[in-house]
Amino acid sequence: MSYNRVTPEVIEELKSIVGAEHVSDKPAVLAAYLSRSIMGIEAVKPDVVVRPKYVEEVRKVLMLANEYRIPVTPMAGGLSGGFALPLIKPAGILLDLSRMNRILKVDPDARYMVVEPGVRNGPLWAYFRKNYPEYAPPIPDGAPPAATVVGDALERGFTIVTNKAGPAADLVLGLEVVLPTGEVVRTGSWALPGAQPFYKWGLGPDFTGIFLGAQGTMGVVTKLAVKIFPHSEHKDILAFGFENPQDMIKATMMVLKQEVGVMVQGGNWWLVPTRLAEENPKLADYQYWAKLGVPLWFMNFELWGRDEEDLEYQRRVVRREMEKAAQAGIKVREWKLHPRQKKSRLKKPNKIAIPYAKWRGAFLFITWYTPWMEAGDFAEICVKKMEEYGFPPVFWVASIEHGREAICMPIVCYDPTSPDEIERLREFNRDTTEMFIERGWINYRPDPYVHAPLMYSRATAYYSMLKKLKKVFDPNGIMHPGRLCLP
Amino acid sequence: MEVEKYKKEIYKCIHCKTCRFAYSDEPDKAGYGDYTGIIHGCLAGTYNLDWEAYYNSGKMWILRGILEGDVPITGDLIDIFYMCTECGNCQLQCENEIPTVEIFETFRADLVRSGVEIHPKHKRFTEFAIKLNNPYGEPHEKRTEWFDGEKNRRSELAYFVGCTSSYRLPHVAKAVAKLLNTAGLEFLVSTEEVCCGSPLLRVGQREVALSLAKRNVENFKAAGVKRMLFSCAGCYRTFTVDYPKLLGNQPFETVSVMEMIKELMDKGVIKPVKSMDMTVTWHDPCHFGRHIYLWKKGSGLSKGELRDFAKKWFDIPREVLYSIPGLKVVEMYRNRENSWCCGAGGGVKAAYPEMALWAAYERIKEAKEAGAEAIVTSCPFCLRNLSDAAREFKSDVKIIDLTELVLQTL
Repeated sequence: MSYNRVTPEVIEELKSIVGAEHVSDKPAVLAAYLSRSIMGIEAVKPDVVVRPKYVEEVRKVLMLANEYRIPVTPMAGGLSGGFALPLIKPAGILLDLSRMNRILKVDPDARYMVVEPGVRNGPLWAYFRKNYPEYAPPIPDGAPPAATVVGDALERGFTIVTNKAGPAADLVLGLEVVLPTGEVVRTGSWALPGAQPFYKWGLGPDFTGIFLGAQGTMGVVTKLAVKIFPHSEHKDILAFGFENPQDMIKATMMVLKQEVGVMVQGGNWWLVPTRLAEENPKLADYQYWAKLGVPLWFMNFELWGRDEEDLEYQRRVVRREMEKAAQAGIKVREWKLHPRQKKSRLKKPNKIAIPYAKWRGAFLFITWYTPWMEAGDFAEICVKKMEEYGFPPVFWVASIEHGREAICMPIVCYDPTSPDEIERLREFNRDTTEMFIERGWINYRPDPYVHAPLMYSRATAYYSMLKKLKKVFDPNGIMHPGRLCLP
Repeated sequence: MEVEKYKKEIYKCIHCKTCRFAYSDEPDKAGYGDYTGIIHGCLAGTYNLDWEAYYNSGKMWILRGILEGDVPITGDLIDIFYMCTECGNCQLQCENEIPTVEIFETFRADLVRSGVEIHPKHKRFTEFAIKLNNPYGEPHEKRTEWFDGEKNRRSELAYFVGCTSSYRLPHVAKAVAKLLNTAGLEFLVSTEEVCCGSPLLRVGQREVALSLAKRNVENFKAAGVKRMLFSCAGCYRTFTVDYPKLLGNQPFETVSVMEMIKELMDKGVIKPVKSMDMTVTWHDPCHFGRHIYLWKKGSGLSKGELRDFAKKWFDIPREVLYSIPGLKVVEMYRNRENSWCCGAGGGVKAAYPEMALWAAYERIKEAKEAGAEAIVTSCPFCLRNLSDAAREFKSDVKIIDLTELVLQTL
């Protein structure tokens, strides 16, 4: 596929659409959007950044780009996508949607909200605490306050209620999408003019899913209708320690089957020291942490009760199942968390995931979905491979919808100033991806160089159909080309 | 480029963008009106229409591009790196502890050395500082004109007045002198005092700043001074934090006017007795507040020690206000280390006056929403900028200097 460059004439046209102050092609301004960490390490600068405020502006920009065959990469907060940046040259237009930051509707009866892509977790949470304290928006857990609900939903990430309600994509009730052809479509029941977004499956076959996980390759989502949840003031966290990941997964499954808890997540002891500076050698010695009570492997159960009685019931269920696990021969002990530890974990949004850069200077989350009961195998492979490649074996896992699946993640702490280390990271990713795809595990956010090609090389029939669908929505292939190995 | 020495720190930016907020770790913080939970805390990014380049996170990635030869050094960088008051909010919020203020100041010095055309206002105040020892272009001999006491009186306590109080807000300097006289303290006001170098350091004019710093240190050392008193937050920060880095540890203790007032009250030397029927709020100047907090944090204090220090330090002016009979004190939402900057620092007031006024008016609105009739502070830079904004936007919120307020109650 051939594309055209962004010319000065195109920039003038873009300025006439969104206003000159919302367009820039200055090298420094473009570089400010770069990101090579957290979710991905490959990124290039766009040719121009355009910051629309309204749907009509998005529509005009896309039609212009479509006419001139210029690539467009949409970006909500630039966090959930991690590196929502162009991948091929000419890099084209980066459509920064952060100015579209209105909370358009909250319906406490039908329990959904409608938000624009630029609505960030921190301000959204504050808005709910002030105006709808009895409800919680489904913000991504562990993501920083600048991340967005739209980005998380489009990435099919996890939220503060993922153990209870499924991945963020499951909470979507409808989308408003602008296509490169200039068409504006809504999905779910929203597709019917005048209808509210109360029913996600809409008018016959619903194509919401085409845009979820598409990483901006199909169109630009300008509105999201998404479920909100009762927010409890009765919360607690229980934590349990294990000797190995297989025990952790098996024992946790016993609890998950009881369907309690909004968030169930854990991992290994390496999650603790790698949030601190690497300089102190004692931090890398487990014995130091063992003395402080940190288990080798652990699982946190975040419980939200309707009232204290309900909360106490949930605590009893978790402890009862762990007792049963112990009786079945699993070595398990309750890890009594300090109130400050609980407070920090219950805080939403929080900054828990940010300081992993302290260990080596940067970190990469490589996230996978597996059946819950296979997450122990996944963890064992990860730990072994991370050690083999010279990375601290930091591993995190969370339950999705009461253990129907697991979201598993090696957190690779690396030195971003070392080209050798970055290359080693790439090799680790390729090596493990080959193994994981062989096992039938699915990458959460397929990257364009390793995950997507390996995945689609096996799923040829699906890939072929996906390319045809892409042609329907984006006939000139201008939407984030290359991102998903799609033209 | 000197900024390369911060490469490890610059590369630690994972682009989480948390640095743009105040209270980024307090999502449930209760407030008032629209001031609640996590809220914007970066003047530069907010003022510049939320363009990523103006936030700290964007700047870290621009610096990365510069270090990798991907971004050229051009005049485009001036507005991006100078439309920032270096208030330190980004550094406070950063979980990866990137020393943003040091990095910005170092890069500004790189820009100066690179030969890129710097902002004409900064160029001009640098020339003034070289020729006249102050950035305002005022004659040096007029520096102590405000003082009707005996100049150059040898004393262990010196009052370092600073350029802004000397030339633009002499009423602040007079109030401090009156306070010291009321307390029966002998003090030195030196005609040899020159600009502390703060504005020069902030805009990257390091050589000029160093030269001024040397003159001040030599002068006050020769005068046998043991204790330096400051009513200007910028001068206090520069003497306390920067001078030891530039010239090694100094033989004199630095003390802010807030501490001095508190100390005199604690000793019973002064006592507010007259009632003030007014509702006020305290504005924490960045250079007295957050910068000192960050400096202490970087000095190796444990979390507990830092918490204790912060409580004690930020309580000082508040305790002074609480001790004034009848005075009602309310807090603005963003306070202490999470304060919103007044908008004057980092060379912004000189080069980007509209941005400075906008930031100050944001602060005035926050005070008004908190129910305050007046903002009390103790930095002449803040006082001046907040007063300018109150005048410009016709606000009825009064801007009051702490020392002057205390004097009215004695």
